[in-house]
Formats: sequence, C-alpha cells, structure tokens
Amino acid sequence: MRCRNARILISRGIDGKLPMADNASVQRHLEKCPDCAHYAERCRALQRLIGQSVAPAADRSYWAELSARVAVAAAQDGAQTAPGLRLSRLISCLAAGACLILFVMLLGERSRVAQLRRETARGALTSTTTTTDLYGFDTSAVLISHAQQPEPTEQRAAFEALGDYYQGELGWMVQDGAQTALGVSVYPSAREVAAKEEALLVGIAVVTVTADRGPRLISAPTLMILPGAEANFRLAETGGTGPRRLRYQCAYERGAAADGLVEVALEITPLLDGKAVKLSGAVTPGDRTTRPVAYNRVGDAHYALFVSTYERGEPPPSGDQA
Amino acid sequence: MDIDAERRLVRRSQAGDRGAFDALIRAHRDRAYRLAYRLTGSHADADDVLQEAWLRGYRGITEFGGRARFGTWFFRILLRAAASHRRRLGRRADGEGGTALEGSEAVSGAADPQQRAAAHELHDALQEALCSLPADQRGAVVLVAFEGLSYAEAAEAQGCPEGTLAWRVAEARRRLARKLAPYLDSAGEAHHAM
Repeated sequence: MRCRNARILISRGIDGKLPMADNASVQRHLEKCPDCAHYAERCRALQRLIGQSVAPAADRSYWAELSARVAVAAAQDGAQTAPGLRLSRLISCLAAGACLILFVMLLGERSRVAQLRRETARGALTSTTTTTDLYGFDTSAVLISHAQQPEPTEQRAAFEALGDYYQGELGWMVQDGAQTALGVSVYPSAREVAAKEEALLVGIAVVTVTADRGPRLISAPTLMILPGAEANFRLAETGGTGPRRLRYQCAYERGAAADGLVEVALEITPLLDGKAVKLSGAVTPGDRTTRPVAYNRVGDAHYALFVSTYERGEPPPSGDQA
Repeated sequence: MDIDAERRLVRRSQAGDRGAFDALIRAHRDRAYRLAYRLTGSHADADDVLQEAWLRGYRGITEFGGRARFGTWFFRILLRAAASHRRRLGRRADGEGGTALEGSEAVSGAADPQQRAAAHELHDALQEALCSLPADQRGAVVLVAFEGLSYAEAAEAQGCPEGTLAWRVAEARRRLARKLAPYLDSAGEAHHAM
C-alpha cells in the first residue's frame, strides 16, 4: 500500500468510516511505516483537540435579525411572500422603501450637504460636544441639532399624533470614505398585533455605500417598542467587511409633537472609537417630503440627518432639491 | 427533523411560503453558523456568507429536487457563498482579518480565567490554522472532522467525488497537525496522563 492511500484510509478511520478489510491492511502498513504511524498519531491528537475546542455560536437575537434582513432583501428582489404574512410583508416593504429613498438621496447628496452647511453657518444648526466618563473611559458625544426643535412632552402623545400610518426617517453619515445610512420606519401595530395594542413596530435599514463595493444592506432588524419607554431601542451592529469594518451602535428616539412638529433624533456610535454623534431636528408629519434637518462635520467625517415622511402605500418622496 | 416533515416544508417553500423556508433554515442554522464561521474566521464574514446563502437558498428552492437532504443542499450553497465572499474580498489573504479578536469573542465558557484564556488561545490557533488551508480542504475538514457529516454528505455538499473528498480531509489533517504541533503535543500529554 502506498503512503498516500494509507493516509486517506487512516483519516477515514479517525472518522470511523473505514471498512474492516481496509483497517487490517492499514494496520499492516503502519507496522512497517513510521511516517504514517506518526501521521496516524497526529490525526488522533488533532481530533481530540477539535473535540476540546469551543464551537462558535450565534444567539437567538442574531437569527431574528438575520431573518429580518433576508426578508428585506427578498422583498427587494420582488420575491413572493406567502399570503397571510401581511405584517412581515409590510415591514419588508417599509424597510425596502427606506433603502430606496437612501439611494435617491445619495444622488443629490452634494447639494443637500451644501444646503445644510449654509444652515450651519447661519446658526440654524448648532453643535455641542460633551465628554462623559463611561466606566473609566472618556467618551465624547457630539450633538447636532436644529434651532426649530419642539419642547419634549410625553412620548405617547407623539406616537398618537402619528395617526394610523407610517412615518419614515432616514439618516446617513460618511466616515472614512464609506457612507452609511439608516432608514427607520415606525408605525402603530395596534391593528396588526392585537395582543400588543400599545406596541409599535420599528423597521430599520442600515446600508453602507463604498466606492469599491457599492451599496450594501447590512442590517434590517425589526423591533417592537412600547410608548413611554425612556429609550425606544438600542441596537448594536457590525457592518461592512475588510479594513472598513465598523461597529455602530445606533439609537433612535422620537420626541414630542408640538405645533405640528415632531422631533426626530438619531444617535450613531461607531464602537471602535466610542464617539457618539447625535443628530436632531424637527419635521412636520405628513408633509410628504425628504428634508435635510441636521448637518455637521466632525474631524474628517460628515454627518447629516434626512427625514422623509410619507404614508403607507405611497411611493417614497424623492426629496427637496437645494 | 424527520424526512417527511422536511419534504412538506420544502414543498411549501417551493410554493412561495417564506415561513416554511425559514423553518427549514432554523433546523440547520447552528451547524450553518459554525460552518460559516469556520470557513471565514470571523463573525462579520460568517454573517455575510450566511445572509448570502440564505437568500440564494430562498431564490433557488424551486430547483431543489430532493435528491439530497435539504441540509446538504443548503451547505453546498453556503460553501459556494463562502467562495464568492472570498473572491469579493480579493486581496485579503486567507488567514487575515481580525480572526484572533473575533474568535475570542465567540468563545464563552469556562469560569476560571486561566481555563478561559487557554480556551481562547486554542480557539484562535485552530481558527488560524483552518484559515491557512486551501478553501476546498478547509471546507472538507470542517464538514467531516468538525461537523461530523458523512463522507457521502460532505462530497455532495462540495460537489466532488467521495474519493476526492477523502483526500482533501486527509491532506487538511496533515497540514493542520503541522500548524498545531505545540497544541497536539500538550493534548497528547494530557490524554496519556488520564
């Protein structure tokens, strides 16, 4: 028996897949060949080592989030969704709609950023930086806000003010040459989820766009939130691949409705450097436009928050032109 | 999942029932995650590969003829998705890319700090050695030696004859043993001491 064949059989033997006849001939070979005997001994030790190693595993929330992402991507494909899954189809469509707006927005990116820069220059947009001691680490946060921000009141009132239909919000940022966008869809679920009448469902679409890889959906989880909760939700995500892989922690908050305005705030935290950016502005529900509401530049990174409002069933608005 | 239940879910998936397809994935998801992770070396890359495989599977379920089990068919898609992912990454050499850090994150386990550190070290070394293998060998050894698939199932997943698969596993073992020699020596000592 040649060593090459013997080693294949030895390897099969380790997996318990070796017929008796082959086993006997391998044993005869091993008695004469110290190299193959060494190989056999190493293979057994290797298998023990594999048995000792801890298997990587993902938790349940990861699977739920991945499932939602696939649902969105499938919806974008125009893939069929089963009848009876109205809610998940709706979520998919909303998140897909948010992505769609993103791409439209990116086309007009430069002019809108220029408009926001002008607003920043004339003081309509303000920026403050605070440093917080978080578990012994200094964490800096940048708050970019619009001057016309309503006073906060009860969160529930804001939800109720939304009516029965969907509001869509979008924010995007540019960092290290990669553009990242967040599309957020919020709508009351009372009619769809009878058991949780007060809950709202939130669909988020996070998309990265890089020059070399093009647009890519990195996350579209769906979360259920309750009115009155202090923080609606907090989501940690890993996005991108290769050297540009960044981790973001995103938080979205809906503020109050006052004088027909609704405050929208989006916080983006790249976990690698821990610097949080909070973008805050006010929008009028039902105005059916995509508006830039906050912009600033921090170091080499540009941050802007765009807000889109439209009703379910309508096509997303293409946005203002500066 | 028994084969009849699997066939029913496959038929419903082929009729456009996404929930049925998700149920099929759910039955194989833990193994799929381990496979994706072992093939790519990081959670982020495994995530990319899983998403891609899931989508490809959903799009292609109507072409699934039932000759193999669903899991084997899906693992084949996953292996191809991993290969595509590697091609997309292009210049990124095998074995690079934050494996050690993310590998450590994936290991929970022992309460004793020393044991935990040892587990992390072993996990990272094993993953690094895996990532140094040619893709076909890596896939073969992960399917057989890590995940315990039969040679016939692994060959079906890799789309190659069983003999080729057996050679890939044997050769992968030879390379892994060389890379992991210090760990094998200590594992051997511990084994003999018992």
